[in-house]
Amino acid sequence: MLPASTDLERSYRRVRVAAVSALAVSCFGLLLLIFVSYRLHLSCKDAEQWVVNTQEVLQDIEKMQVAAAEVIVGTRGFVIAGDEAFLEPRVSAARQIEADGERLRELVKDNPVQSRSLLQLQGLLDDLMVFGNRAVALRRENGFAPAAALIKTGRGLRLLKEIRQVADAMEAEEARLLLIRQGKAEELGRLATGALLSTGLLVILAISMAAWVAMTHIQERLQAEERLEQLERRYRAIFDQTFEFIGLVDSEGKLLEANRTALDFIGQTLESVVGRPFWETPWWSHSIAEQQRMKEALRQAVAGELVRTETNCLAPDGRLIYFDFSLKPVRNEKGEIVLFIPEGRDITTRKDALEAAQLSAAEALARGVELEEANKELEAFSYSVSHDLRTPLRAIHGFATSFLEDYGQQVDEEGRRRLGIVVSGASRMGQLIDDLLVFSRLGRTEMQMSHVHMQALVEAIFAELQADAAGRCFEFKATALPFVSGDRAMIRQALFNLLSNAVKFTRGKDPAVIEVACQSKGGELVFSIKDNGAGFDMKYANKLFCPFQRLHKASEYEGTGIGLAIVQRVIQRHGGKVWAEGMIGKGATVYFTFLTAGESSNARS
Amino acid sequence: MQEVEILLVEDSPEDAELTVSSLKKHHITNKVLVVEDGEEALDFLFARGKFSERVGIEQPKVVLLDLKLPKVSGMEVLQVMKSEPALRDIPVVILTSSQESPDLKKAYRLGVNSYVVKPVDFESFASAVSSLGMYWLLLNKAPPEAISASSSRL
Repeated sequence: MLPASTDLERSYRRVRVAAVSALAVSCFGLLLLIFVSYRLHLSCKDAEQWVVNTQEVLQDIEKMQVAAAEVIVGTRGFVIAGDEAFLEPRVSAARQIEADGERLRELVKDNPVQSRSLLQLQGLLDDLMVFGNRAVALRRENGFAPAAALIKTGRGLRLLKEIRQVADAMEAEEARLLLIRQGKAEELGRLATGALLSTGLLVILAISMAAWVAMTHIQERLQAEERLEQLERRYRAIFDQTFEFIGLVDSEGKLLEANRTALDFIGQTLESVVGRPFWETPWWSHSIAEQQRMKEALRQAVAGELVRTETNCLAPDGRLIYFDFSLKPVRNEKGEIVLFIPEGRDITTRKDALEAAQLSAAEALARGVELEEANKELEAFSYSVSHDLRTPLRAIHGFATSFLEDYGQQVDEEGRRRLGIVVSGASRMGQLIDDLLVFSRLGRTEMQMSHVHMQALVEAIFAELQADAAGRCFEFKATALPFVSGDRAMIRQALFNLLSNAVKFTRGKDPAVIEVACQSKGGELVFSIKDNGAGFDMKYANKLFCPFQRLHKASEYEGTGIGLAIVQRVIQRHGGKVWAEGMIGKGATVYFTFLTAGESSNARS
Repeated sequence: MQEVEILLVEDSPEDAELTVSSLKKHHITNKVLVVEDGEEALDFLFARGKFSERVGIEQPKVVLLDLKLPKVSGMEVLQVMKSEPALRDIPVVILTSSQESPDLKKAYRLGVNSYVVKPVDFESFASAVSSLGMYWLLLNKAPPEAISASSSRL
């Protein structure tokens, strides 16, 4: 998870809280506004109603006054003229008073002062009506004079005056009420304005706050996006620049992403491959087997396994490139597999090297087998040679010898000499065959490595040789010869040949001086066997170790010419060198080297 | 029919002659029968084939066996002899021309009684053969019951 998202989340949370708060405050403010407006409206309506009411009241009072005056005027007219026509308005006025009184009672019933005043007014009006009726009745029954006398009492005018006074008071009261009501309505209006203003301010404040938080958030978001973009660029760079082939596959096995390396390999754009089933993408189009492998890999990955396999893709140049391929399932926090990451590492070089190594190992093995077969053949050949060559030789030697024994006296000296040559020739050939077989065997038998004590070995061999050379005088020195690691039988053979040469070529020296020594030089042991014998011409030093090369006449020194070749072969098989120094008549020194014990165990020719 | 005391299995007539004359030279006069291949040797030992009339006669005191033989090799003869109870006790000496034989170990494992490489040099050869004759015919004491058991069977 990217570190930026936690900041972003926190920011989101803040914005959410701010937005919800602002919304809540705004809603509340608006509700308040609606409420206040409604109340205001009601109040206004109320106030209006009251004004209408007051006007009606005033009107009705006025009407009642007029009606009262008409009653008086009608009555006077009738009294004076006695004409019934004057009574007409008086009747309608009485009805008027009745109706107005009724309505007025309704209008002022909530006001006890006005109600009381109204009662008083109606009382006065009733009195006025009674007075009028009496005057009308007097005029009808008793004629003009009593009626005029009643009128002259002025009671009607007094009543009218009182009525006016009460009506005036009521009117004054209504005006006062109107004034109060208007004041109330104004106050309400002020309150409403204040409430509207403050609510409006509150809403503006809330919205501003929300806007401020949102702005801050947007800025943070922009920064986070910038960071994300930077991260994305970095990861993209890694993703695209790596040598590995990397991609993303959705849970249905369709390709979502592939990095540049992988796309460049097939020479296509992401758009052209995205959305295809992974096994049908161009990387595997060269081989149905690889497509099947990918299908199988996906099947395993769907089951939650991390798949690792080896696969190959065909490069545009036609080479088959081998990959160490893995397909990794990626799970979400609920543990469901949502993605797969295919990855491929080019292992062609490694694989080629491995194959080459395997090939060369196989070749080596084949060569080894061949060699072994050749060795077996050679063994069989040697066996035949030694058997089949020796048998006729034995016949030659045997019959020539037995001829000499049984019929020697029947031939002359020359005959016996010549037969003697046959015998010795056969004998030498036998020796030659034996030496050759030893030589060939040395090259192929497996070495049996052990620690060989050179001092003891040299002493034992010399003792044996000395026993065969009875009557000769030797000065033999062998000091502090170390252990070496090698094949005891082979080393014995080499030392035997060297020492027997020394013994052979010092024939005639008195004393024969033979020295065996050893020096350690640069990780090697240099052995030397020095004698004071016949020596040799350094000119031919390089021929000394070749098979059948002899630097002396057979008549002088017997031998097959194989001895030193055997020595060389033994030393070479132990990883050493051999060489010789000498001078005719002054003796010879043969040197050979051995690796020091620790290292020689690795030496195999 | 005089009893055969030495059975010499040798395909080389020269070697056979040299062997026989070496024995004679060293005054070993026991009867020697020379057969030229492994098949004939086994025929003789089992008294079959051209030796089928050979009944009730004692087995040889020693078999001198060359390894390189036509038809049935010396090693096969040895193997048959040493796995056959009636023949197991007859001393077998391998006389071979070659030091190179890969079968030295095998021969001993099969129970050979002696293994000698024939020298080219006649003196050495003659002395080796006569020593063998002396040893196996005169010095060595064979298990008598084995011989009699085998003779009663054959």
